[in-house]
Amino acid sequence: MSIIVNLDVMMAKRKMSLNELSELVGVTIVNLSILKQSKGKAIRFSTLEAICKALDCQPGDILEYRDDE
Amino acid sequence: MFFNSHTVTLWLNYKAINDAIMKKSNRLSIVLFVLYIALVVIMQRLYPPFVYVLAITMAVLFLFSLLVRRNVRFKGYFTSKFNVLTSKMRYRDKFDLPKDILMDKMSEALTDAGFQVRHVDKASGNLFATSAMSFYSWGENIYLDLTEIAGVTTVDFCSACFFGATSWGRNEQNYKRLLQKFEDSLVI
Repeated sequence: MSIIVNLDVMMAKRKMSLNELSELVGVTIVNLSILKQSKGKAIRFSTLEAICKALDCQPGDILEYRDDE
Repeated sequence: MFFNSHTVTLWLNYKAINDAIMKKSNRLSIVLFVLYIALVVIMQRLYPPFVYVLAITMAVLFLFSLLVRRNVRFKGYFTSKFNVLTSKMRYRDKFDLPKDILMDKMSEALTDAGFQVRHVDKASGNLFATSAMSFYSWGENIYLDLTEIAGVTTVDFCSACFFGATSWGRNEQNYKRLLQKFEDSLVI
């Protein structure tokens, strides 16, 4: 997978659990788990905005591009 | 008419084979159905009122299927390859997701696709849903079986008409619709 989601890293830094983040962002725990494992197909800007607001971070802190080659 | 409809179903089955990772055909049920038609023709010549007996039998079977349709315990009856009165299509797909997450997503996808989820068993990884009656069919029963090995979950999908020798492509449509809704649900 070329785009890695470092959601668990940011959650650990902010000492926030998946349940708390789910309530703040308005996304189900299942969807956040999928996002965390980088198994999602796409992420909406609205979701990204809500996550950045909840974790007080930048999109670059959550999303990372890794060259497979 | 029934035989021609089943031939069309055969052709649709082979046409859909490239869309699935694995698909099981209904060859045995087709053979049984052909034998059944031959028996009907022979019996009608020997005993003309047989047609009325047959009509009553079919009506009873239809009412029985209608009554037990929403009961998950009759899964074996609807999905049996020996049951020529229920046209079925089976597919198998693999997903790179844990079983518990995939169960929730599939349940969500079933609801979004317009099916009514009747039974969810997380322990055994079974899902059961039904579709509404339409112009082409009396309705279908959808059965999903999920098994996980080393982080990869295999989903066995079976769509079975609750009464009908052919589904007129509805079983195939159900599978494609569910898959599409599942893919859409991965946009978070």
